[in-house]
Order: sequence, then structure tokens, then C-alpha cells
Amino acid sequence: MKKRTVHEQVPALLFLIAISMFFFIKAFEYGDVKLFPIITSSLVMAFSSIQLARAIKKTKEVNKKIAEDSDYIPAISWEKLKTPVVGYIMAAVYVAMIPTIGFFVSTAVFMVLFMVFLGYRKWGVILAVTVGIELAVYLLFVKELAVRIPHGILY
Amino acid sequence: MQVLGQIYASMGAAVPEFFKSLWSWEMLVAILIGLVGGMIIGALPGLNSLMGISIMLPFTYAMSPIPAMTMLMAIYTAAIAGGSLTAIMLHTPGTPANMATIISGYKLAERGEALSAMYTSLFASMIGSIISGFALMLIAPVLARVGILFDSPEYFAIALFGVGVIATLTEGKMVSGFAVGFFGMMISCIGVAPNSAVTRYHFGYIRLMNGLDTTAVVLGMFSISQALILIENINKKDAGKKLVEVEYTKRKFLSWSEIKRILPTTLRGSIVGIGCGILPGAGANIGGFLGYNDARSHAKDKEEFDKGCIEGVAGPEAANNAVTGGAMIPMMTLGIPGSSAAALLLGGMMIHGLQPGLSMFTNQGNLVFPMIFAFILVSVLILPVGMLLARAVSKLANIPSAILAPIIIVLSVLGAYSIRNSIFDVYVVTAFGLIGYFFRKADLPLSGFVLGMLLGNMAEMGLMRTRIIAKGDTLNYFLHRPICVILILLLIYTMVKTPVGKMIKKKKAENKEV
Repeated sequence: MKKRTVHEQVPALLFLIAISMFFFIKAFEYGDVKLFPIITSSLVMAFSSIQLARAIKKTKEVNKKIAEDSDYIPAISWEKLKTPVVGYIMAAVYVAMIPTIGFFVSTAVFMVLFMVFLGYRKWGVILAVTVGIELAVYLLFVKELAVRIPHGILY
Repeated sequence: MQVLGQIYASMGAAVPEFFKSLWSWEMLVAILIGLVGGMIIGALPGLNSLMGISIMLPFTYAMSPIPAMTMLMAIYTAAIAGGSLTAIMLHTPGTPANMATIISGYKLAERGEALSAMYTSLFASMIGSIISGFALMLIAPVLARVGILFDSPEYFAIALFGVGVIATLTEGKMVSGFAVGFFGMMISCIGVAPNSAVTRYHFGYIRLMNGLDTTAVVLGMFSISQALILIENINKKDAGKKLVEVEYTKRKFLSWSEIKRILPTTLRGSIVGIGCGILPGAGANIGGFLGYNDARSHAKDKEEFDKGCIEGVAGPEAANNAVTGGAMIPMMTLGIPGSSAAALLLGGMMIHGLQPGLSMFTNQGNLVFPMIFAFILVSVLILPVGMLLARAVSKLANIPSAILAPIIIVLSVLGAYSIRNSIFDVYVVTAFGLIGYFFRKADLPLSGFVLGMLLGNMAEMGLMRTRIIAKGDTLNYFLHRPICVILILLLIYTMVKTPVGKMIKKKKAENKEV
């Protein structure tokens, strides 16, 4: 059986509608300053709904295309989203680890793992880029710009 | 007129003082540090002129006033010019002011015309900055008076006009443009409400009470999403694939015909930028979008323009750099800074004994005018210095996506953290990275979202204040303010121009067929 999907706008528009609906309901708690969030969230809901109706219509075309062309990979499919989603999860874990193990250590681990995950295997380049970035950040941000980089249990 | 006469006399008398200060090591070093440092800071995502000026401000205490202020003003304008380079090459705005540059700039880069786009951006930045410098020097008192005519209703009308700009930016996908534009405005409601102590949508989280930082949101939407787009089609075989191809030709700069092509757009963009600069709160971020809007509205072939062209780079870059001189007009003449960076410059001026106000131009003309002359000189130097940097930045194209993507993520994280030394902003950048990615996948215009977010606060503040001043009769109050009426008419014109134009064209074509 052929896989079915939705038009690429559908998830984003559903997200917009859900968030704006939440903002709309919550706005009534804010007394005198509720007007602007009510107006803007209503407009988001209205425009997103119109666009969603259009996107749902287009979904049929996408599914038709899948049925006709076996090589066609739709925008919302695991094949297409796998690398960015896994990459994003790696980035999110990296960000979450910064306060615990510190910026420098987590950045080094993240950069090496990310490049390897993407299939890059020139270890000399991987090492040089990682050390280069760490050094540049240290010299420019820590030494020159006096940014207080978060340090964790390691460094 | 008498005031202007006195100012011009004072200006003439200051010329020898300028040349005297120019031929000093202190001045040359100040110009060099200001320009190169400003451009590098601008090119790095998350760092902007505000940070550069605040870091360098303590170093100026021991300097003479003219080199000190020249260095700070150089950082201010060079950072915005430098930010366009990464916007064009990496789809990552160096400063929020360069967001509109991405729209055309990155498309040009994808076509291999990155160098041409960067030269255009530097040329337009130079012209915008020079023109704003001349405006500051010659007609500052007049422009400052125009600036103070703008009150809350006018700011609300500007924000409404901005909504019209969203429609222009997103032509062809106007419904989705408005959806994300108003989403941006809605997101700007997070935090303390204007003219009130009420905090909204913070869920008890103290960091959310200050609202979301625009730079962090923009970095997430544009940069993290770009890293995810880059790795989308990557597989083990093409891990060494380049980001974009850059055509390195023997041509060292733009051709004369290209300069002639972008000159009108650049001049108009500069005027738009000066206008944005003199209005406190509008700033370079909005200025860039208005410059883009102006360039697009004057384009003969809109479809061709939307595919990416040098006018689409020249418009926003001329405008955002012209904001720098524009923002210094109310700062120097009235003591009201037009932007946060201008507020720091104001502090720097006061440290060096300059008292803002019209009298400063006559009583302390021997200090003020050499500073303005030096600002114009620095503006001229943006082009040669920027061209050296552009060549270096264009080499980024040779870096494989597998290496560039993690670098973009790390720099975005670092840039977001550097804004307020807050890990919360890093979470914001990460969250909006995912939103930005799915928005781009869905072909929802990010520029509309960002413009909405920038305008949100201005719109709400303008609306709330006007409601209080108008005592209930808000609409009538608006309609009795000439600037508001003009802006609303302009909005209507912007909104209906294209559809009506298309209708007329269609009618004409039908008549011809008959």
C-alpha cells in the first residue's frame, strides 16, 4: 500500500492555529491589555485557516503524485525529514548540556559527532575545525569581548 | 534659517580642525579599529554595533573627543555593513538590520553571484551612510523638527504601514504572509505590556517576563533553520558538498551599468533610512525592510525581482546604513537617541563634554563638525575595507555543508548567548530554529514574521496611548492627524497598487484581443 502524506503547509498552519487559539483564550485574563493579543491572535487564526483550507486541497494533489510516481519523495516524509530531525535533536541535546558540562566541552563533542553523523570522515579536518572554532571563540568572545561563557563541571 | 546660517558658519570654521585631527596616529588607529572591528562584529551572528560600542566605550575615555567619537561612529555604521556579508553568504543575518538583505542576497548567492551581491551591499551601505552623514551635517535641525511631529498615533500608523509592507514582501502568498506577520505581532505580546505593569504569557518563568529577544528569535528562524536545510539532502556520498558555488571572475567590482542600475534604488533607500533613523524606535531593522519594499515597489518586473536581484540588496542596505546618520540627528540636535546604539553614542559624547542640542552645533562646532566629517570619511572607507572582507567571506562557499552546518549552529548558539549572557536566549534560538525550519519547508515567508515581530510592540504602544489620549474616539482622533492620514493613504495605495495594476493590464490585454 502506498504511503499517504499531507501538504507541507498543513503541519505549520495547524501549529499556527493551535498557538494563536491558546493566545486568544489566555488573552482574556489580561484585563486592560488584552486588546492587542486578541486582535493579532484572531487575525492569525483567520489567515491560517484560509491558508489551511487551500493546503488541504493541495494534499490530494500530493497524494496523487505519490501514487503516480514511485520515486517522488514528499516534503513531509521521514526520508526527507530524517537527517534534519536527528540533527536538530543533536543540537537540542548540545544546548541542554551547555549549563551542565560547559560550553567548550559540549561544543567540541557536538561538532565532532555532528560532522561524523553527516558522513564526514576526514579526521584531520574534523579535529582542526573543532579546535579552530574553540580557539576562535576563546580568543574573540572570552578574551576580547569579555563574554561570560557558561562553564560546567568539566570546563 | 538664521540658525542654519550660524551652523554653516561654524561648519566652515571647523574644517581646519578636522584636517588637523585627521593627521594624527590616534585618529588613524581609531578609524582602522572602528571600521575593521565594526565589520567583524557585524559579520558575526548575534553581535552587533551596540555590543561593539559598549565594549569600546571605556577605551575612549583616555582619547581625544574627535578620534573617540569617530571610532564609535565607525563601529556603528560598519557593523551594519559587515552584517550583510554573512546574510548573503550564509542566510544568517550578522545583525538584525540585515534581515531584509537575505531575501534577494541569498538567492543571488545560490546562483553563484555572491560576490556581486556583497559588492552591491557594500556600495549601497557606503552611499546610504554618506548621504545620512550629509543630512546630519546640513539639515539636522530641520529634520529633527520633522521627527518630533511624530507621536503615538503616527507610530501606530507607521506600524499599520508596515503591515502593508508585509503584503508587498509576500506578494503571491499574501494570505500566508499575513498569517505569519500577525503571528510575529502576537509573539511580541509576550512579556510586559506597553504602558502597563501587566506581564503576559510568561507562565511564571521570570525570563519570559522581559519578552523574547528579537535577535535570538531571528537567529533561530534564519540561521538554525538554514543549518537544517543544508543537511536535508546530505548523505554520506556528498558530505563534502559545497554550500553555494561562487563565480570568481576577473571583474574586481560592479560594472558601470550595474552601478547605474542600483543608484536610484540606493538613493531612495537612503532617504527611507534617514526617515527611519530620525524616528526613535523605528531603527535599522525596520529601515531595511522599508528599503526592500521601496526597491520592490519600483521594480518594473516584480517576478524577476523576486528571483533575486542586486536592487533587492541595494535597497535594504542603503536604508539600514542611512539609519545610522539619521539616528544621530535627534541625538545631536535634541538629545533624543533614535536607536539603542545612538543612546550609547550620546553617552560617549557627554563623557567627552559635548552637550546635545542645537547650540552644540554653534558653541562646540569645532568638535561636532570634525566628528561628522570623520563619519562621512569612514562611510567612504566602508567600501574598500568591506571588499577585502567580502573576498574572505566568499571563501566560506568552499567549506562543505557537513562542516558549515555545525559551525552555523555553534555560532548561532553563541551569538544568542552573547546578547544578554543568558542561557534562556539559547533555548529561544533553538526553539525558533525548528519553527523556522518548518516555516521554510511550508514556504511561509520568514521576512513577514520578523517584520511583524518588530512592528508588534510599536503598534500596540501606539494604539494603547492613542486610545488614552483620544478618550474613546480613537478613529476620529486618527483622522484629524495629517501624518496619520497620509500614512494610511500610503498603506491603501501600497495594498491596492499591484492588484489594481494587474487588473488594468488584464483589461488592456482583453481589449487588444477584441
